[in-house]
Formats: sequence, structure tokens, C-alpha cells
Amino acid sequence: MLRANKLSAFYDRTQVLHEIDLRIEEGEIVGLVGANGAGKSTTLLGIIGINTRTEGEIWLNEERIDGLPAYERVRRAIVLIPERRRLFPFMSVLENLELGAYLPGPRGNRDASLEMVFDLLPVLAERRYQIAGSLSGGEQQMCAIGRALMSRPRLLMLDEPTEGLAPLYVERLFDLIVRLRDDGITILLVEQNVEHVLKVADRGYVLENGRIVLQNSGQALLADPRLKTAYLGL
Amino acid sequence: MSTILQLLVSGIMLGGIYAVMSIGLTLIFGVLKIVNFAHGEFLMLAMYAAWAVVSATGMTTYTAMAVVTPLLFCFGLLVYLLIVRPGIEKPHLVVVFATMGLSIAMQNLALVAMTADLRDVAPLFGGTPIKFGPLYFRVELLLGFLISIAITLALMMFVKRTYIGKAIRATVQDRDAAMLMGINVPRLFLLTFAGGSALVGIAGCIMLPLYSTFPTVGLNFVLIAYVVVVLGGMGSMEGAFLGGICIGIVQSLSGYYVAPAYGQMFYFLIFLLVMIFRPNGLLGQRGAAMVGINE
Repeated sequence: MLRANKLSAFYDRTQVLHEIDLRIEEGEIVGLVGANGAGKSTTLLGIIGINTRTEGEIWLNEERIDGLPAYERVRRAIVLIPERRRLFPFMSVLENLELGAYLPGPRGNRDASLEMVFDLLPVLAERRYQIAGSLSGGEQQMCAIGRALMSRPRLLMLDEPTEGLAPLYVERLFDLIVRLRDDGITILLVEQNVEHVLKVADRGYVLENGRIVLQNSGQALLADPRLKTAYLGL
Repeated sequence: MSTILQLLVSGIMLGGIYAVMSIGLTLIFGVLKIVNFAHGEFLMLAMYAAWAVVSATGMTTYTAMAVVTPLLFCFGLLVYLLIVRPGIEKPHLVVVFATMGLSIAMQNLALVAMTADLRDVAPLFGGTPIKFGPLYFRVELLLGFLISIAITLALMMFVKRTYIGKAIRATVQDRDAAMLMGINVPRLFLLTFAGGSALVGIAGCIMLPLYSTFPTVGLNFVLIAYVVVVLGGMGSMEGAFLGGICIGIVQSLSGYYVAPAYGQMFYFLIFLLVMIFRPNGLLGQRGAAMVGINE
């Protein structure tokens, strides 16, 4: 579904990603793990095309998308839930969700999507008129996921979704991610929480200093002693 | 008693006009996080355009709005594409100096084209004020005030209810997140800048019958517009309206009880007090003014 060939990413002159190759197949959960500063978030930003300059190719099915601005990539149903959620803090939950369905396609399905999201995440239905900035961390994460689902993504990328969540919410979140995959959404998941991710991921990549050092099925990576090495830099 | 009532009402009306003159500035700041230092010259252009339409066709400035508003919209498009956009990703001062340069160029072009003579239009109904109980209203002031209320309300509805309005608010709150929603942020910038300029077109038509126009007329008002915008909270439209009314009342009262020449001193005093005790303005979001500088 999505392929990155020799993808490099830069902040000004500083190169953060070094020619990584990435492949995500339809209906998979792919985990991207690595230590702090390994380039996980940058990979997602590069795929969506925001805040970083990239070189190399990104293909979505048969279309090359690396030259497109971010909003054009979103139009092709690639959606990123960024680090720290980035809700619109002074808007209500409902308005945040509505903005998820901003593009003409999703806007046509808005009411059905809203029903689907409220069904999946009942807490959002309860809090629909509350200002998003006043939600708890877990609720904000649910709101961010709901907002992303409103745009009917085909590829959903999540950046550190468990950051700052209570353990109960972490469990629920991973259940939800598996459920979304079962509903046909392809998932690219970035996490520090390695064990959790690799348990649910069909395949995983390990990033170290902007390079992919390991790739395998999630279970195989968990059993691989080199995973710890990559993480701890030993 | 009726004097103070009259002064208050006149002040509120004047304030409404200040608000409509400032609302484009605050809209542009809110979305693009830039300050257009040629805002006063946009107003000057609008007033000259209104004057030209009135002189050429004999219509009132209010009907001239139908010509002047789209004209300023187009002018805004052009200025954005040629002058603002090239500098928008650069350090903040680039746009500051680019628009400042535009302001000086426009003043001097107006001086060449129109000379320094004052241009004005004949008052409606021979300048007879309307009497309403114990109060007198200048027709042009009343009309201007009503139009400014209508514009402010319409704009607030637009921003609250429509999808484009929501996209505008989303971009104000988090530009990157807005992009992630699929909002075409560069095009929204263009439309906001042009739309804000169109609002200046409306303001120019309302103000021409109340004041004469000349090449540096913008300087008289742009200072008020900046005060109104900062007073209300940068980027807040409701705030701009409230700020406009405050300044209008202060000017009206101090003009009568002290001396018209001291009006500026009084509203800058109020401005200082607000900045000391509510640095984000009356209705501003905390840190709104910093966003533009930090990013």
C-alpha cells in the first residue's frame, strides 16, 4: 500500500533519516520502534509531508506522493495523529470531530462517521460539547483518534498514542487499534512502549540513529536479542 | 444628563466604525500571525476608491461598497501574492518591513496621483441630523454603525457556523494540525488576507462621508486600529468590536470634557492599563500574540 524508497529527512541541514526503506501492506499493523531521537516521528512527518524536508520516494499504491503538500496526502486518506494529539484546544469535541471530516469526501459521510465514532468511543458522545482543551489526557487521545477516523483513513499513523496515558487507557487503546485494523484500516504505529507494540504488530521496524537496523514480524522482533542492543545502544 | 448620554451614544457609534476598520487587521493577524503595516494605506485606497466611484457615478458611498469591496479583495490578493507570501516563511521582520515599505510607497503614489488635497463627498440629506428623543444622530454615523454591527455579526456567524469559518479557527489555534485535517492552509492564508482587505474596503466606504481622504489619512486611523486590536486581544473579532467601542467612548468623552486634541492621550492611557493588567487583551487567548513572534 505504502512504500518509502531511500527516504531521507532533514531539519534545515541536519539529516535525521538516512535512506530508509519501508513497506506497509494493506490491512497490516506495522510498528516502528526505536530509542529517543532515532527518527520515528520524523518518519511519520516525512510520510505526511509536514515540518520536515525529505528526499527519496514515497509511493501510495501506484502514485508517487512525495512531491505533494500535506493536505493533498490527507486527501488520499493518509492520516496522522501527531505527537501530543494536537487537538484544537478552544473548540468543542464535536467541532474537533467535524474538522476531521473537513474534506469534501468525508464531509458527505459526516453524520454516519459521527455515529460510528460515538459508537466506538462512547466517552466522546458524552463530552461532545466540552472544550477539547479541558479533557483528560486519555479522553484527548480518544478525541484525536475519533477526529482521525472522521476522515475515513485508509492508512492511519499514530505517533506515541500511549504517551501520558493511564495503564487502563493503554490497554483499551491497543484493543481499539487491533479493532480498527480488523475493520480494514492499515496502521503504522510509532511507540516507545516496545513490548506492547510488537505484540499487536504484524511486522515491525527498529530504527536506530535514522537507519533501519532490524525488521521482522512483531513476535520475532520481541524474541530477538538485538532489539535490546538497538534500544540501549550497547 | 442628556449630554453624557449623547456623548456615550456617539462614542459607541464611533467605536463601531473603529471596530469595522480593525476587524480585518485582527482576522489577518489571527490566521497568518503577521501584522500588515500597510493596513492604514489599504484604508486610504478604499476611501479614494469610494470617492472616485461617488464622483464618477453620483451614487452614495454605501452603494459604492459594491464596487470598492471586491476591488480591495483583489488588491489584497495581489499584495498577498507579490509581497506577503514570499516572506511568510522567513523571519518575522521580513513581512514587517515589506508591508512597511508598501505603506510608504502607497502614500507617495497617492500623493503623486491625487495631490495632497482633501477629497470628500457631500453629506446625505444636506447634513441634517436625525432626532431621536433627546438624542441627535448624524445620519452617516448611524448608518456606519448599523453596517458595522451587521458586518461583525455576519462575520462571527460565518466563523462559528460554516466549514470555512471552522477551518479559519482551526488554523488560528494550530496551523499544523489544520494541515493534517486536509485544510489547504496556503489557500486559506490567501483568502483570509484578501477577505481582511475587503473588510477594509467596507470600512473605507463607511468612513469617507465622516472624514475627508488624503494620502496620509491612513496614519490617523491605523494607530487606532492597532490599539483596538491589541486592546481586544489580537486575533479576536469580538475583542476588536469591544475594543473599538471602548476607544470610541473614550474619545467622545475626553473630546468633550477635556479637549479633542487630548483624545489620543486618554486612549493610550487606557491601553497602557489594559496591557499592564490584562496583557493578552480583553478577550485574547493567552499567548496569542507570542505565537506569531516565536514561530
